[in-house]
Amino acid sequence: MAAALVGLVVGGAQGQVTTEKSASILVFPKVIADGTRDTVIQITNTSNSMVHAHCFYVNGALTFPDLPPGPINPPLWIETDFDIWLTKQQPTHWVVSQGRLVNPTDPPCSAKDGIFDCNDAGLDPGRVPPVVEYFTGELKCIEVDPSGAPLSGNHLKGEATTTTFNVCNPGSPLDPTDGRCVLSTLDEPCDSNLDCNPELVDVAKYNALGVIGNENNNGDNVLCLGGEPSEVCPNGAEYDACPQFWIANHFAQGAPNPTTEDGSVETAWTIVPCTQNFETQAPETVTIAINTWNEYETAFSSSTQVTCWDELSLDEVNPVTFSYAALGTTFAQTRLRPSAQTSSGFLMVQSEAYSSDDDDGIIATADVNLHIEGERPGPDLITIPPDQVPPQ
Amino acid sequence: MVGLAMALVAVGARPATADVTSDRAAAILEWPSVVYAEDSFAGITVPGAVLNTIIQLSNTSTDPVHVHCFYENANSHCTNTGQVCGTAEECCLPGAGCGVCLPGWNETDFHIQLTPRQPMGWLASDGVSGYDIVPPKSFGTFAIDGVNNFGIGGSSNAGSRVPPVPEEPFLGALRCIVVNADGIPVDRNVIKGEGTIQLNVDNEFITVGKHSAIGIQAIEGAVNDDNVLVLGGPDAEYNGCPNFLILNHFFDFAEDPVTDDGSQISTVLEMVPCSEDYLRQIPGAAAVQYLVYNEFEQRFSTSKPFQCKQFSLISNIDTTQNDRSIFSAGVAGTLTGQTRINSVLGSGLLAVAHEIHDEGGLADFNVHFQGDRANPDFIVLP
Repeated sequence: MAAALVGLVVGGAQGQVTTEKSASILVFPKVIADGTRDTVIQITNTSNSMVHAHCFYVNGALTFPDLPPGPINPPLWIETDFDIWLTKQQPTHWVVSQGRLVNPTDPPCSAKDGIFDCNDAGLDPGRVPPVVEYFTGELKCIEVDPSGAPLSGNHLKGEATTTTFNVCNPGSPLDPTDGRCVLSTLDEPCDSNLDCNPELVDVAKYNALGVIGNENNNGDNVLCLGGEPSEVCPNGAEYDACPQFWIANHFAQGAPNPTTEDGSVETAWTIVPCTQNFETQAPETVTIAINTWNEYETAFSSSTQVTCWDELSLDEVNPVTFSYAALGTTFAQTRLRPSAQTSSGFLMVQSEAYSSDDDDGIIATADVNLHIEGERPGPDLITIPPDQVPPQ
Repeated sequence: MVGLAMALVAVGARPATADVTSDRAAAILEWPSVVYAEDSFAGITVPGAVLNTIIQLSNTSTDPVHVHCFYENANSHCTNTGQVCGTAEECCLPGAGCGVCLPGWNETDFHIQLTPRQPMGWLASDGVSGYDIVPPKSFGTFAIDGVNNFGIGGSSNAGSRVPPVPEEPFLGALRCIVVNADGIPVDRNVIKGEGTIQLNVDNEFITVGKHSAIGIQAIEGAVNDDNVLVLGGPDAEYNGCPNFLILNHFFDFAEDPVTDDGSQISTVLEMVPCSEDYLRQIPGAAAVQYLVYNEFEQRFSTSKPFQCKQFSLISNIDTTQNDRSIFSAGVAGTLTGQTRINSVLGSGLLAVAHEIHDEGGLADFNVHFQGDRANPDFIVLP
């Protein structure tokens, strides 16, 4: 009888991550503040009680950001953690390059020409640090109780808005003449930001990925996403499992932009592993199996590997199988899954760049959340340093 | 012991998961935002501007799927000229007086057959017709004609055709329902989709916003073969529409905190009812309550009914004087807010949001959902 009762509370993985419901873990896979882009984070408490969250910035920038990735140029994987708390139904925001400091004397909204500067107004959610100067990584916020123990409250939702500036992206140090204005397709090198139209700015927005917590969360420092009861996860799945499949509808890489005569569309995926160990600071690597179908129902396959964090254009994933020339149709459907020997699932968001004219036009961006199917059988583990949660 | 067991069951209870979805394949897809306009839209005239929608639809299964789709035309028309109008002033003719700008709603339906795993897409302005069986495939055509080429198991796009939206300008929505070869709704949660709104001004300015279509999943074994689809409630064939929509937004006229140069942000909310009667051409209607929270935890509320479709700046929901709206940054007093949207009378609701940055252009996003409606919604097919 006792076993049966335990069985009742040992949660199975009943769902997967969500982009449309409140959750206990929020993951913003794409958080960028690198001079060409900046990001606004919005997080909201959807409950009528105060909610606390423990957040981690993970900087996935390369050790030498201007050089290609490789064994001597791995991702930094440096984490910075902080706490926020939100009163009932409270929304909050911050610009990641600026952070949000606690200042009870924050000025109220001030109006100028009918536009209101309100950036600091409101109850500060806690001391949110600014990110470092060249930050390309993720933000993860875990709902906790007032003592800091992880809690399956499912009270958090969030969004990230990425602003892209038309600055001169200097290109590779190996080829300084390779610099281009970020939002221009004009094939002329730039030397400085003065060469690029500063009035050109673009925004894109996606919903944070939420991992729903189950009621059997034991509040320890190891968060179990999916899976069955085990030594490390005695209660089984404390949170829903990471997806087994991600399904992306996308344009073939370089396919014509259908609303223009000479423009095209390019796609990139930002990918982070589900498993993360903030105690050992050891970045996780996932190998991803990818199957793509064009409109003729012709199948292509490829694979890629992501350590810690990566933003991959489809060209970088595979220059052939995603190209418009190879696919032969404007649209494609791609299913991505962790390969059989990979010990972690992954989370991702899709970004698209639309050009008005490939020779002398501008670029507009859009982010979109992807669809998911199924759940991973094994658990993914998020390990918080034990001194950041109360002793059991 | 029984009491203990019940308590434990209660502890282990999860929130209801039978909701609509924008991140899983479904049996009904709703694109709440389909727009097409040239040179002017919603009373704003920009010569050379084209606002258009790219619809993407794909079959996530390994079997062919048939879908029955409905464009919902929510344009208003002048009673005197029949022209599409946004305001009453547009119905005034010099020397001949004014007509009334009458809200309208009518549907245009069509069928598509998708082969296994097949993706497709089209422009709202153009639709899809004809076949191009040799790659590279021309945009706006189907790939597999069923005569010269076939998909797995002999499947094809034969019998498919997507018309262009019936008017320019067009403001409306699209709904697609999975059916069998006889056109009868079936419980297959296998289609997914996206909508991309693109504004192009003479190729000199371009901005794009993209969102996922909202899916309503069928309940396995519950879908009968009649023409009334029941969403939620005690006799549900499909999952119920959400009880609350939750919108995180910048308050209108807030200064963009990133550019910090006096450019502003505003949000357009596009909302459609869950219930539609395509047989008698009766659009759904709802009385909608909005609870708005600012970053001080202060709450405001307003209510507004709508029929067929709501397309509005959030600061026009409660007033025509935007700067006095509870959705205005000047009134709310903070940069961002949370708005909980609930249908208190009539149909359930589905929505997407468009965030407009003065300098940065357009960014779309899906709103969040919470809970199931107690009352069912109905989609009545012809």
